[in-house]
Amino acid sequence: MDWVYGPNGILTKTTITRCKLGGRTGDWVVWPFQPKICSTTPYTSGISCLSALCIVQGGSFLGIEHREPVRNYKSLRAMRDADAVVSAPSTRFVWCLNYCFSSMSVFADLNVSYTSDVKRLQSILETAAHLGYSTVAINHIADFQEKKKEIDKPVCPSELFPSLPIVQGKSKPIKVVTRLTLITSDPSHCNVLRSTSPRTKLYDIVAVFPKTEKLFHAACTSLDVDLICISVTEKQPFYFRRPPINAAIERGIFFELVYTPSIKDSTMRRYTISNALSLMQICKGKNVIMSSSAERPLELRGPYDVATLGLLFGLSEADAKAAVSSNCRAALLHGETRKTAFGIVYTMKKHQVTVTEEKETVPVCKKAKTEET
Amino acid sequence: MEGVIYKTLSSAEAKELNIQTQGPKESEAFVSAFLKRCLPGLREEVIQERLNRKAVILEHSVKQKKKQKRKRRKGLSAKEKRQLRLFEIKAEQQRYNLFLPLHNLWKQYIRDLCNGLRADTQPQMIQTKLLKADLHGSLVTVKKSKCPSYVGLSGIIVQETKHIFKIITKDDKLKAVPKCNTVFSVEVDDFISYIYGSRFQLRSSERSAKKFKMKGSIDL
Amino acid sequence: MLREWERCPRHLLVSERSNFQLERSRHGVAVRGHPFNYRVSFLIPECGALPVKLKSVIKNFGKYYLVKDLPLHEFVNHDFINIFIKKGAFYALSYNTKIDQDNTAAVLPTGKLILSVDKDTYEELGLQGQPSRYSGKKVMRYIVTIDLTDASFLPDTKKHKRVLWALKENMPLKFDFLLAWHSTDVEVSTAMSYFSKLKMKEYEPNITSSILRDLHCPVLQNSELQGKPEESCSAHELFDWLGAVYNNVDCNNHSYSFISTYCCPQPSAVLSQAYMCTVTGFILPEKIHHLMDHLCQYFDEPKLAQWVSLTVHGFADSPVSWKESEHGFHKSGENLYNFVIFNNQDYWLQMAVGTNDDCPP
Repeated sequence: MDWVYGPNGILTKTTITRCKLGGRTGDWVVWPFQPKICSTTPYTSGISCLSALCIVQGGSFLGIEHREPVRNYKSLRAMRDADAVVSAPSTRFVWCLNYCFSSMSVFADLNVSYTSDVKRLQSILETAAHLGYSTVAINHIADFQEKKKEIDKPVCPSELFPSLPIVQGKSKPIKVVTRLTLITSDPSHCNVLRSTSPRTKLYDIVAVFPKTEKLFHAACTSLDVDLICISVTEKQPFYFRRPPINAAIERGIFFELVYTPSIKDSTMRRYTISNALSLMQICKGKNVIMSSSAERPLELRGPYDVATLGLLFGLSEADAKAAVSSNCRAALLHGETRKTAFGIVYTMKKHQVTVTEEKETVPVCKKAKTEET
Repeated sequence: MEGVIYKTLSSAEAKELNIQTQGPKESEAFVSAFLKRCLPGLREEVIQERLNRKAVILEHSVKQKKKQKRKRRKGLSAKEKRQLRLFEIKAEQQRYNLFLPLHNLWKQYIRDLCNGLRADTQPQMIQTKLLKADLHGSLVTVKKSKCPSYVGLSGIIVQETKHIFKIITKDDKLKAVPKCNTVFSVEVDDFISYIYGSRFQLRSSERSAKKFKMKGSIDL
Repeated sequence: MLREWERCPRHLLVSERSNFQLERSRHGVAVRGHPFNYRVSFLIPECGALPVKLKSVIKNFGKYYLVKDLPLHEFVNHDFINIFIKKGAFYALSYNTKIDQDNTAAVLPTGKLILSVDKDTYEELGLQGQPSRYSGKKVMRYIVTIDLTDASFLPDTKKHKRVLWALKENMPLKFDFLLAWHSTDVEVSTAMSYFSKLKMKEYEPNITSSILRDLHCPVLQNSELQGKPEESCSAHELFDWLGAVYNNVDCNNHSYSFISTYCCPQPSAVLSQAYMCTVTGFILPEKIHHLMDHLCQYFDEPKLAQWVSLTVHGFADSPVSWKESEHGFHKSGENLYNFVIFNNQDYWLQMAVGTNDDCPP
């Protein structure tokens, strides 16, 4: 075998097996790098690589055992384009790490704790905008166990801010939505959701924090919610089971992992990671969102950092990024569906539309059209 | 005794009673003819056989009812209609102006449906009404679609099938737009409604009776 | 779980070795094919002052323009196409738009308008495009390519009308654009007055230079691209080291330093001085090619240095990296290349791209 051309790696042959794809006697060699913590180039800073691909003339096609064949194939296909080119210069190498898909949309933090302290809330939102979040949800918690109280009216973002802070690096202001979290420990608490209570309808997102397995099951299969919170401050009181979680994924409900406790305290971190991992075993990284639950501006983290933190929770690279971006978008849309008639027809007043359009300074023509008719 | 009963009447008695007497052959022929008429569907031999042994109940004909295939022909079947091209709108009738009265009718219909459609009507009320309303004649615009070439199409709905809206555009073209993965917008007076077609895939008649369920999200 | 960690995102580094004089040498392709560059840096070992020729080259990198709220349909306008696209190489890139979050647009010198739009915009825009190559199962991003020089893209054709309708009436997308134009026969600044009705600002590339003293530098051997243990360093190691040098990373690995544990690859030699120069801005490939030619001429007179290096960074949020190959952003959006030019006109070319990128040409 002719794969000893490691750029700086000490090669361990034991980790290498022949790839299942069985390439032709050709050009591809795969081997592990020594993990490297100290790369400095903008290019290499993200690397700390463990495996690599290389084209070597006259080498043989090998793969690392744990790779999924499909991914492997995709990455190789990307490289095949290069293959044709290889012959031109006298020598050519391609170093390549694993392939990764990422679906992308704007970043969102769907959990910023509501406080009556407006100044603090403002500074949290400002920090979030500065970190690059485009959407932030202010979270109202309704805990029926503590005190029998009515659900609060959601805070109106326009009251909070005369002008919303502008997201860093963009010209758009941050979008603020409202969210309600119900902490349920008794089935009777869910009645608020079942009956079309006018208060619940005021919120953009409705989340539920089930304390018992029965309620978790109900939340996954029948309750009309957008998010299900996963406990991060204590050991999960029940095991996750496959049927309810699959049902929740089917229904488009997302599981929420909160990262602030794991930043604050090492015990909490342990619980967070263990609970998250047991969840990931079942849901395989699908339908997970990560949010801050920040009470102070300092507790917020940038979206890319949160995505990296997601690796600790057992998410893959692409899933971790989706957990702060596209999954949040899907959850928001799921919440929006509640305002429509069964997700089929959505009516609004026209002059309202034009007002929002003027705010966003988008379609001029839409307005013109409405004036015509 | 029997002999007295079954004896043929003498000609004098017959004359007295004003009855025509028949000879034995004639009477036999009469009986067989009579039986044949009263018992339709049986062959002569069978009748004779029965006469030998059984009492024959006269005038109880077991009339075999001719099962008439009752075709409830209300009209043509859908297949026949298709074959006759009844669903298709003739090329010379594919004109926008022809359908404008229909559109005006529809607007009136929606206003009636929503109790006059005042400016302060709740949008929630309108959207539940629209869910069950007939959309023929409404002016729709494709706002969003997974297939970009449908975006921007605008016209009056002239036909609705389970999966397709057929709309006539302002430049007199008939277009079929699939409901799946498409968002339509409908404007009525001060209100604008978005119809998320993916969940709307029902015939208009079925839709009015259907009980909808909250499911999924509005994302295409 | 550990398995997941091992599966880190893909990065590509392509290294090749060739000679400028060779006919099949592809240095021109690599430079010209990389349209959007924001940073050009070069390092000349054993040099205390920049030769006058090079100085004038980097001084004349040309101006670029930032136009605020430029509606996209301006690029579809036939006046624009006739003035700019057909008479030179026009470069435009939307500014302050993040490729993984926002809509991004760019005009390539080949006359192609490339829009990278998210799912919502794509569904409303009404222009046919293709799903991004890096989107996996759920497509969240689409690439719309409009060839402005296409023969069927004349005014009043169906295609042109549709594009104009989509960009003007249906969805008037607006971006802040960085613009630059390369033309041999028309004055750039007069032509740019075409955009004068919009808010436009003129910029010059920013030049910083410094002289590094007592620099630890890896030993290179021209013919050994992958290095030889104990004799010379590999291309990959050099690439790593260059990054450290350009970013002023301390290579000493002191025990008290917690920021960097990086140290110069072995074997290394100490340079008494080295000249480092960095130019940032919206720099056209033509100018970079010009600079590269002059760097080659640097060795016309005998010099102490064995090699010089030229590194070019592309915009992290540009929708293309090389030519029309799609560029994305996972956690970093690097697309850069580096030339190591040896004194016998041999060169090493290293091209690096991040996770969501095609292999460089």
